[in-house]
Amino acid sequence: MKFIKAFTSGATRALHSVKALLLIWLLTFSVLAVFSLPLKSFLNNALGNTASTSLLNDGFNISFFLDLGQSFSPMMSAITGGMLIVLIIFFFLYAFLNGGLFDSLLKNKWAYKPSDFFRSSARYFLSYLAIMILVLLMILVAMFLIIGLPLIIQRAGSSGSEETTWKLLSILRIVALLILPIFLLVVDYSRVWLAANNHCKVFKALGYGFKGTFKSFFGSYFFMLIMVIVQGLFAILAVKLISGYSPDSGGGLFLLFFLSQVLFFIKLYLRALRYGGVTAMYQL
Amino acid sequence: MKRIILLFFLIACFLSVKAQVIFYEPMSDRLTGYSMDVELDPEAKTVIGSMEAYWINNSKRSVRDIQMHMYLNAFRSNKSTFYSENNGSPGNSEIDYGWIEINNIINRKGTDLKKYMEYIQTDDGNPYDKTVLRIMLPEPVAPGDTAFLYIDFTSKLPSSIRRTGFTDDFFFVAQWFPKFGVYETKGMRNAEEDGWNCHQFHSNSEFYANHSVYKVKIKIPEEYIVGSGGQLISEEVNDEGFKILNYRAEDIVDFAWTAWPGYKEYEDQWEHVDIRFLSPAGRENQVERQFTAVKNALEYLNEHVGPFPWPHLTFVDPPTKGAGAGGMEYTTLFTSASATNIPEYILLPDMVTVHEFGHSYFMGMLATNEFEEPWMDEGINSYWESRIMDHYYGPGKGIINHENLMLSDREMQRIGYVHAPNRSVSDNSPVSWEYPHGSYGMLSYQKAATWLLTLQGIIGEETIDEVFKTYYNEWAFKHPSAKDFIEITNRVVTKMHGDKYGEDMNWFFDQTLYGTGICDYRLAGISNHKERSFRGMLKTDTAGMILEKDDTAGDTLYTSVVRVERLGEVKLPVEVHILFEDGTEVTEYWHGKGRYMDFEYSGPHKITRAVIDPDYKITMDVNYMNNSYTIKPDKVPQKRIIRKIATFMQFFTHIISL
Repeated sequence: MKFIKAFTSGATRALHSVKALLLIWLLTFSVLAVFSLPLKSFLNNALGNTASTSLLNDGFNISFFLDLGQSFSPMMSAITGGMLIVLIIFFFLYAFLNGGLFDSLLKNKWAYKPSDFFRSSARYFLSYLAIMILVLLMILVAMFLIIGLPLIIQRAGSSGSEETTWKLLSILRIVALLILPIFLLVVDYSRVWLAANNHCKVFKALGYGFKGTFKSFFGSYFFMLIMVIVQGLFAILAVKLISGYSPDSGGGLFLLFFLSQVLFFIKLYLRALRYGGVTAMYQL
Repeated sequence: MKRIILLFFLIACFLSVKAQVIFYEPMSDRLTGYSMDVELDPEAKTVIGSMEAYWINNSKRSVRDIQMHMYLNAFRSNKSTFYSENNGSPGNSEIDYGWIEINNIINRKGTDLKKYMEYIQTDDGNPYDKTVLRIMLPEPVAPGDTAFLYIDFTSKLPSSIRRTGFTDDFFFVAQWFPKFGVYETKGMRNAEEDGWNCHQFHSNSEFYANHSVYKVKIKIPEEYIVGSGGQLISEEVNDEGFKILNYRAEDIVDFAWTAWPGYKEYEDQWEHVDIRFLSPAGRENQVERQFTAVKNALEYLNEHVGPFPWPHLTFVDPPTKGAGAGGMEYTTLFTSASATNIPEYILLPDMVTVHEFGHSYFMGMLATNEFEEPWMDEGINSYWESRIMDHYYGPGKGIINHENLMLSDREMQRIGYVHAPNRSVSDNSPVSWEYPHGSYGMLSYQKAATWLLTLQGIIGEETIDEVFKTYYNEWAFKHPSAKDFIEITNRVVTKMHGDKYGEDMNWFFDQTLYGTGICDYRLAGISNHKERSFRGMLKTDTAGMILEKDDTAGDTLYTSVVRVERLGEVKLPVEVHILFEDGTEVTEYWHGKGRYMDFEYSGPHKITRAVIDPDYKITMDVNYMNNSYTIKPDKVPQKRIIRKIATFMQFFTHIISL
């Protein structure tokens, strides 16, 4: 069956793209370090020689941070402002790096050169960025139409009971989850088509994205639905693992760092598997 | 006085053939009483009816007038004192406004008193405010005599629910009838002479009334579910599709009720108390936790303050459209605040239930004047709320109990005060409508709770429990004031501790209740100076300058100093815990009166850490970060937090990159 082939081929392609994945990991980690290192120094400076850091051993302590007093506001500004900048930078960075990744998945070879990776990344950067923005907008509009609007109408009505609202929200969330894979297929097929045809035409690529999605819809859809579920569950598991592990020694901290990066690399692999699966379905 | 009470008792029994007495021995003086026969008109949003009310003059002087609260007139116009103070408005159309009108009023002799009525403005002279009614009596009420009033009135409920009002078919009927003010005799609370204490309805005020007997008959369409502060005596349904409910309540300061066809009813029991809970459909998963919360509060306050005497208690979780009625108290009726599917680890609905139930003690039984001393109900009640929540839901977890995020009720009170930008703008002494710059809530609730927690930290839980038990025993069903509470505290602390804390505790109340200073102690630093054997240049008589060294190999000796500073104006005794590198621990006590204190030691071991107030007893301290110092700071926790934040950022940014 098509979607089983997509899985196996996607897994193989992702494996062959391990160099590309390592590059992605290294670059994104470096950007993140630029954000987190100053934050660490700031916090060390604000805390000074206090012995109160032990309060953080039981989880996030609200009054601890509020008691930083005059240091708290600038720190929060740094965090929130810094996070926004990091989000924007990463959005651009992934748009850049995905070009190289799709190229690697298409070529499906162990011997893939980093220079090819960056060449492809540069070539498709603007097109991929445009596609990501457009599809993200489509997702937001769709979510509003599927979830937001019905809820607004229901609450505004005279029979807008809370019980009905919650039931409706539960149903709509499932509907939204079922619709999401379609948009992901569109964005993935668009990007594959651009990389495979050496093109930079955004709207033509989007057109192919929709065509490719509905060409053999059920196979593609089931593949993407399973990937969304698997990636979602993995992300939840990873967050729980990281949240739940609270080391109190330097060695434990290193283990936390190692664990977090291993989990993130697995996430990168799963994403590459998804891209690889769509690439395989494109080539079938 | 006993004769008057007996007379009233006989009158009450005579007037009300169907009356079912709740307490055979009254708990209060019952200086006022109300017997009402009313009907709710759901279309017109009115409650129309008649009332027989009495007031006993327990002073030694004849009284020429009666003053009554007409609270609903606050919603009559945007020029009322209530709306003038908050720059709001009742609404745009006639249905939005609220008001109360007396249609007829006569005395026991049948004299029409309407011509003797006038609205007065006891606080601000605002001619548009009609929330205080004065009735000049044709004949004064002699000492010990009783004034009877027979009133026909119409109450129109406002559409925007500010504790009272309606939304669609949901009604919360509070402050809805003409209600006597409190006649204070000289020396009672802060009264310098006999007179009525009857304030206007302000944006930031609550209420003050006598403990009364209520007999209330409500006629309402039969599909409505009604909850009230009274005990249901009888219920009948007539042929016209109406039901008639008869309620009786004794020794409560207020009678409120709610009606909505959408309520679901639940019942439970705690010892002698029948508990009834009304909640909208869809919140069934909140019912058990609501009952648990109220029973926790019942149990804790019974044990630590005094018994809850009433055999009935009703509480209500209003629907979302009636949320304006949530979080309010009427002694044997209170409203909580909840929503569907609130997770178990967020304990805010439970906190509201505990808090609002607590008001049955603090202003229900201990009927303080909420207009003039709001901290005495809100602050004291917030203090007990924090004790109850942290006791039953876990220390450190009374508000949020999630594995990654915890917040205790105590911390929440503290945060609300110490991190308020205007925490020093006033003390706790202003009347409720005169707290400046929006500080009423923070100062009445959180600041008062915080300094009460600090008081507990200083004198101990056992002593403060004894203070409140004494306060309850001496002042339940009366009207205490701040000076009464302080007097009891002084008396109990002296009895239990002698002069350990000084002659009395006035030094504490002067700085906290009546002060605006902040409390901030700082562990300025630790120094460990190693004493060395002598090494230096000596001048001898014959040889000039020679280098001399003491060859005695002595033990290492350190001179260590712990430097403590008081940065704030508030002076409180504090503990300082000191840890030496060999594990030895010392606890020092500092009275906190000076600006700084140095603790010096000589010994073979360095001091590695020192902490002021290690058990966080001084809740008022505005900054716990500077209360400790260590020569080897542990950087692992902050590194761990940064690492986790960075990882979550990695995952999140990857997700949104599609």
